[in-house]
Amino acid sequence: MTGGILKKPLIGDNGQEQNDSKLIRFVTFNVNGVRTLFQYQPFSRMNESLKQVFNYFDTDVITFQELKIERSVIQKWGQVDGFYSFISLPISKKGYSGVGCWIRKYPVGHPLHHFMKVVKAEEGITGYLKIKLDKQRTTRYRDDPNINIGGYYDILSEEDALTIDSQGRCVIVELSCNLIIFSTYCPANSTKTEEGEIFRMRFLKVLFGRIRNLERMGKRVILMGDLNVCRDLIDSAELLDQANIKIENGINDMSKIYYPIYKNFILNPETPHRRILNQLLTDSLIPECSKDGILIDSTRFIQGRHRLKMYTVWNTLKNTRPSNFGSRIDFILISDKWKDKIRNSNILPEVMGSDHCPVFTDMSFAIQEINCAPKSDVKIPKFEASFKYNLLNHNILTMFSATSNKKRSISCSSSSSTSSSITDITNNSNSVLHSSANNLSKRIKSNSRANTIDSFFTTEKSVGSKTKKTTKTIYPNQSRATSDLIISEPTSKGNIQKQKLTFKDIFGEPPKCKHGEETVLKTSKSSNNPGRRFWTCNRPRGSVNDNESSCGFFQWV
Amino acid sequence: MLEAKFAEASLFKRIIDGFKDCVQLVNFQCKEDGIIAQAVDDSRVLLVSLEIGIEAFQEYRCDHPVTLGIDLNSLSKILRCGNNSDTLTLIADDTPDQIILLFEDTSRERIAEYSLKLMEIDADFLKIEELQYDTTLMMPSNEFSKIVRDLSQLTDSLNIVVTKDTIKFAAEGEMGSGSVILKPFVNMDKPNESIKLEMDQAVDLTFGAKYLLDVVKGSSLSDRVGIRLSSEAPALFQFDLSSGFLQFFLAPKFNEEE
Repeated sequence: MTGGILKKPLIGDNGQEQNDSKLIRFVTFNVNGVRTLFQYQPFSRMNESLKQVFNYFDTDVITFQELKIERSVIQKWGQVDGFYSFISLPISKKGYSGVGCWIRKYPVGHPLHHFMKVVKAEEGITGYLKIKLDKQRTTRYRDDPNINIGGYYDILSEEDALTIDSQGRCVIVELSCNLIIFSTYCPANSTKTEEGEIFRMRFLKVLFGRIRNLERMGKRVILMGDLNVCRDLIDSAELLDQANIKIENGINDMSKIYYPIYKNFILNPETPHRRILNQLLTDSLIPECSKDGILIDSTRFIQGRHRLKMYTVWNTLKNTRPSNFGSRIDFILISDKWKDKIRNSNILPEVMGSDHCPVFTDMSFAIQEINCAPKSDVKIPKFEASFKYNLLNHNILTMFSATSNKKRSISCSSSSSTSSSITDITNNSNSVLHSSANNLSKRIKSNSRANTIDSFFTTEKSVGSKTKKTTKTIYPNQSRATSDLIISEPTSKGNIQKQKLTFKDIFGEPPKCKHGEETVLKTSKSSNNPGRRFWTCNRPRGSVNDNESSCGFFQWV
Repeated sequence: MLEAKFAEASLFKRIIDGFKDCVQLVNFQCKEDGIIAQAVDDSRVLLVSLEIGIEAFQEYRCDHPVTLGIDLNSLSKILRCGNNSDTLTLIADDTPDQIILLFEDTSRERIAEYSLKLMEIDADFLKIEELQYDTTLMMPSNEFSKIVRDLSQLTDSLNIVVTKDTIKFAAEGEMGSGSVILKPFVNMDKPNESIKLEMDQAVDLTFGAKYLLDVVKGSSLSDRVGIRLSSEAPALFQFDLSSGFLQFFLAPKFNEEE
């Protein structure tokens, strides 16, 4: 897959150019460590630049979960040229969890400039977290109506509320187009403990309750991120397998045939998180659930229920991604009232770099609507990473053009005095570079006074196109990125092959599995037979009904 | 045709190591009077400017000005292949799509040749006007480097305050705070260890520690660092070569109230 597929379409559904509407793209991706993302194609060529990643997805709003970064390295991720950055990190556990949300900045004069302007931003879902106002003063979000987004759903004590907000799991951003974006990494309960389930349900209740309150206040909400909940049975390969339901292509809607099983999946009292998620949705299979629903699952809405095996996460240890034996827990849920604006939505399973894959949704807004956005000039929220983490640096290029401008205005009278005072610093201390490419610097200078932001943006563009060009020159095969992607995934095939060669003489020819293929030698790690070697099918594990995945062949050596 | 020979490969290696960590893609402009390069880091806070004069080379010839677009990561990989005492010759034709790096061990008659593919880098070249500075400071580069490294452990921003006859570096972080105060002095025996200060106006500036850590990587090029500060202009940190220099222009931090 090349970057081209990811580009927003320039042409609308009807084949007409979209002069009357604009597409806004939303992307969510549980990156499972933002640094490791850059070890995989095509991100490995991006020099750890988030800007390039965001442009690769051609996105306007993007959220990452499980950043797994520390406060000390935030500069790199909290300052992305051309984007607002909002990052929430866990208070105590370092290098764990963490959610980021980045919103594209449109320059003054662009039709989307006002529409996409960030009005407010908040960390956490309870409003009890504090934000620094200036050097001395801090406040809790809930105490200052000028900075909070409101709609708090108060069912917890302050202590409990701070606990669920202490793990860097949610960033909320309000745009001037009346849209509130929740970027969240909901708790999982992987160890299946009671406390784990209480924590998870508290989180979901407060989150969903607040979303309902905001909708009631007339806001529109998008909830995007890793919810760690499967909404339907068809979203979990493992549970389909356990229910012994075969996935066959061609069946349009299996929910009709297996309705009781599907219903039990959602309403099972042991999994209240599934029920509560279905109650939030307007498109739940169970009408009683969805009667109070407010959000729609945009990916399922576009892809329909007949799209099966649409998974966003796979088990890395069992290597179930090649046979596509996973589940779907990453969502972009959109206010049902904006359902008709959803143009496209899908998973991006070709994109490697994490045990999850990204999900995107495109929405289109009519120009009239866009022009109606309030034209207020609000300040950037204090939660923006530059303020929150104190990353404010001047722009070196703007500084140069500003000083050179000033110099020109006071003419050359001052230059003689300065040059004398600095002569001894070094013989060659002329900081005037003998440049040949004067025309470029002239452009910067001439633009600088009028609007530095404009000059800034044109420079940006040239940089973007540059990197594309350059990567092409070094890697002429980039169009075949799909094959690269497969190679880049850390498989152990090479090792297995080698092992076979060395052990063949000792253990003899490997037996054939049910596929008729050579089996692979593995070592048992069970407590009954530790260290004992056995032959097993070489294919990745998947559904028992899937002939393409492991046949389950097993034989002791 | 460009043919530029360094008496010691280690010089060019030290130059490249001095700034390869903050910028990646750099255009090297080779002209009759030497090689110059300039690049801005991704966050647009730090600008690096390099000038290597003819005297820094053992032999230098450049008939036609050429621009070499180089990925510093790749270049430094190749530079690691040479021995420090080898001579290093850079060779490129007039319309190059690659550059040849020739390492020669003259005593052993060993020749190693590498080529590096060039890239088309569409970067602006800024003409840097002579800026006005309030304060000029010269000090040993290893001392500056130690101060920056020490104080950076405490926090992510470093404060530099220069008054009439003191220079103060200070850091304040969650775990604590620290400061180092220097006074100008002259060491007659070892002039390189002197600290020299010329001040027209007091300055109080704060810089991102991350960027200062990038700047001090230039310390291996020179025993001395020249620091020029102004409240209006980007700070300049300069390491001199026998002919030419490596300069870092750094934009200071600002308070959110501004």
